[in-house]
Amino acid sequence: MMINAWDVVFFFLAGLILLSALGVVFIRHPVYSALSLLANLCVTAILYLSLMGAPFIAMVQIIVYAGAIMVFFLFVIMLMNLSKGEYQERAVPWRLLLGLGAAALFAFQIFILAGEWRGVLSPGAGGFGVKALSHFIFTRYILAFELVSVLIFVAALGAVALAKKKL
Amino acid sequence: MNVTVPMPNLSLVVPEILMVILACGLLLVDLFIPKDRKRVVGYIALAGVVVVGVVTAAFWGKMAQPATTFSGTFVLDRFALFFKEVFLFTTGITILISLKYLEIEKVSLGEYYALMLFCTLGMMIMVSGADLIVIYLGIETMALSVYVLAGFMKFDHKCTEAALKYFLLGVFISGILLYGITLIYAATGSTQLAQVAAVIKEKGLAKNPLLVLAMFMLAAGLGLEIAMAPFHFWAPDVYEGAPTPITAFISVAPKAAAFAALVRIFYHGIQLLEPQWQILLWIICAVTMTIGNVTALMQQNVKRMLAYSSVAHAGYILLGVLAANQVGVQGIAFYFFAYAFMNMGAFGLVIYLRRENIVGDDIDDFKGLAQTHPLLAVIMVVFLLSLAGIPPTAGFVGKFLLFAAAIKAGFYWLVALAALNSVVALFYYFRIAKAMYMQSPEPLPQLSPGRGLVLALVVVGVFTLFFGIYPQPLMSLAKDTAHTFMMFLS
Amino acid sequence: MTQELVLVVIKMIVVFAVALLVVAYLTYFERKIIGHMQLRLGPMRVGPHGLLQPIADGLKLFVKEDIVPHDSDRWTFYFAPILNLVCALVLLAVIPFSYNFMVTRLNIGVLYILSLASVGTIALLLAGWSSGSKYPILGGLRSAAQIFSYEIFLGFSIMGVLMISGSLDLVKIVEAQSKVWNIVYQPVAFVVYIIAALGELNRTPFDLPEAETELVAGFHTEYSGFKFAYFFLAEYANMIIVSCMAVILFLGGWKGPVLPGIVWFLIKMCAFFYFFIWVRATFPRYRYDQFMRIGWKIMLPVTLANILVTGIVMMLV
Repeated sequence: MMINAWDVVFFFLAGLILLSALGVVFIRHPVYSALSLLANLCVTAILYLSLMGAPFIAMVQIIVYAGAIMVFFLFVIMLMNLSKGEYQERAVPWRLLLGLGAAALFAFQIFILAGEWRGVLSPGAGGFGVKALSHFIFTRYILAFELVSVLIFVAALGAVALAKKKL
Repeated sequence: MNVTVPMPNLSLVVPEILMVILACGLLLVDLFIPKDRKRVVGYIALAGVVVVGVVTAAFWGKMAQPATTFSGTFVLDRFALFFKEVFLFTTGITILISLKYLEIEKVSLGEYYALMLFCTLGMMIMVSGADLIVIYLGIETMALSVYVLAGFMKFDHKCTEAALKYFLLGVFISGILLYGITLIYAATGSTQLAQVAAVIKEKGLAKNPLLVLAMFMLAAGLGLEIAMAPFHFWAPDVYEGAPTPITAFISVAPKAAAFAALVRIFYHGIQLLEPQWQILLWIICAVTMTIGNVTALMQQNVKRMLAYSSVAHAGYILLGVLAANQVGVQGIAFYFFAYAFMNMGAFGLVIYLRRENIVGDDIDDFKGLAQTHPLLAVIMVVFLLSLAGIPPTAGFVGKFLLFAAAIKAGFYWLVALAALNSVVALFYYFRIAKAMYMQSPEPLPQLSPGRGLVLALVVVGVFTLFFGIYPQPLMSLAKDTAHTFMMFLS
Repeated sequence: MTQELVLVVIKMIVVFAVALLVVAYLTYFERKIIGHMQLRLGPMRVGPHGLLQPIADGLKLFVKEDIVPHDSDRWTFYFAPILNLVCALVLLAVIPFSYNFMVTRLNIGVLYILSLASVGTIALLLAGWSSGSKYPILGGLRSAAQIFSYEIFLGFSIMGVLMISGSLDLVKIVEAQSKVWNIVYQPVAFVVYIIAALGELNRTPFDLPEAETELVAGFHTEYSGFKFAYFFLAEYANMIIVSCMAVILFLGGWKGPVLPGIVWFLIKMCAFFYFFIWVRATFPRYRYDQFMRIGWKIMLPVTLANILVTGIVMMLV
């Protein structure tokens, strides 16, 4: 059976995504859990970037989720500032896992850069770039696009209504 | 570089555009209206809803054939139009019964009405969506507004708790719904209902496990707003905690919208999975009816009782979906109008009973109403009769259509169960009647009538009776709605 | 293949080494310039005119004791400065210093920079939280809120430029300015960009997260030794990025007569450094509520109006 380069990349990234997603669920420490989510979002972005050739979505994923929503999450976690008694730590060899993860990631990068894989990663690119995406949004999905603006407006309106001091 | 963007046919979305303009305009107008005269905002909203209702009705004649726009993501047909009228009617009545209520609760934020209009907009999109993404966005627009409205009285702990519960469950289920949509996309490569159906047919995917899973998830996602088992747990808490006009609104409009979306997705998108969804809906239908009615028996709080009764009604309406025939669709459409009349009426009465420091939602608050306010008691009895499905009320006609459809489709056992449930329902509805007529009144503070509330009660009361005695016009309109699904229903 | 790889590695080393050196000397220039503006001489002792001062500072930070506070969250405490510096340095990878001198060319360079800069915010939050004492956490929350709000109209101010050049590729953006620099078309966006950049960089007059009169030193109060140096380097590296972006987006990048492109680029960049230092020496600090009000009530509408006007003009022309 021929192993496709795409498959290698996919399974590697998918494994990382799964691992970090499990981390979000199983790590009791709220900040570490949030960081795991951050890792998950970033790896998903890499998946978009490398496999689907959708750089725009990848970057927007990082800007919106990692940059904006995660900051909100951390903000809330830190404002609540849970003391150590409110969650329980689990004994996991984090050092080992992190070290292995970093080593794997590094080896993989070398692998990609050095080998013939490099050529394989680009064909998808351009298939779903910014231009193609915007073309889709402003023709076929224009209604959905406009609706999203209404939806966000409603959310903002609701937040303002709930945040007002007087009724 | 220049990309020409084709202009979609905007004439079909005129009601929605009007709604957006109205809601945004309302927010602007609200800024210039002093705090003690906020009811003006309500009047403007009401007038706007009436205008949109008239405009929407004007489409009826032209829409004998379904028309799509926005590259097939938006469809306008009589089914959608009929449901849009249901939403607009419900919104109008809700605004009428809100006017006084908000003054009692000292709520003077114009955003209340704007959110209600946005909610209506979301539902109008939901019933017209021919693409799962559009439907989803409609659901979210509706749901976000409803979450905020349910928790509008934020200094009331019960209200906040209710809204938070609703919100948390809502976002969770929304995720499931979205996952279902993703699975459909994964299996068929499209989110547009017509294309999904075509691909399923072409590739013979009717037994595809991905699609079956997606079907479960879609049913779950819509099931929350429908309040069907096992996603009905939020209903009693939210109905009890939310401001009463909003409770009335939630109990009718989002339920109708979710049902309409369910019908469209199941009949138009995944109709080839009928054997699978038939089993699913059969079970849900039976469980929902029974849970709703049996639990309602034990309630002391009228809002909670009506919540469980609305769960039970969701079960009855599922009969119509399950039947998958013309009478079924007709029954669903008719039933929602009837349901809007009677449920809004019943909740309106609870608002009427709002006294100083008393919400008016305890059964004891109804004690001796027949002696102190005989007319009010009579109207309440009309609503209760209709809810129980006893002639000569609109509720009876609706239930009759649904049962007839199910019998025609051969679901005898289910109809028997539904009939049995109706008998159970009689019992708890008549507990209220008993409190009103057989018990003597307690000396309590003045009730809180308001012109808007009285008008609303009279309108829904008259409609309940009128369409119970002479259902023909509404029935023929409801019959036309089935036209869209002719291909499937034949 | 190998040749290409070696070239990339060399470019990387050059860019990062030079960047780190520039960063070190930026601190020297800052102290010198501010000193002269305040009629002082600035550092004079180490080397001629204090030229070796940055090296001495670096050595000092190197050999300092590495303190980890007792209440801190050890892992996060170490992780935050690393994340912060990495997020700042990797941005240099896509900056085109001249038409062909850059580590890599991305067709979405602008988005890349915006996205990783936003991840950097998380590092500040984590640093503040993991220190386990109250001033850092307040500083961290403040800086996150600040960067978060200013990021929005930083992005919006760039939008006008993107509309004109029709690309997210930094090279194409510069090429589109062959005749006229974008600052001529987008003066409002330029001013907004500069203000937003000051907010993003946490520099005077918007250095609220580090307001020493209120918060000791903000999120890095508890940091010392080399971990502190990381934050310090990251801050100045971010200054470089912001200046580079301003040069690329508004001032025509490497375009200029006679001199080679890269020299023009560096000249323009230095002008920005000088401007930032000048601002620091001139303006007092804003109050937090004033700062937020400027952001949300003035800057945001202005940038939105700018986008609208740009769009209308582009449609008519």
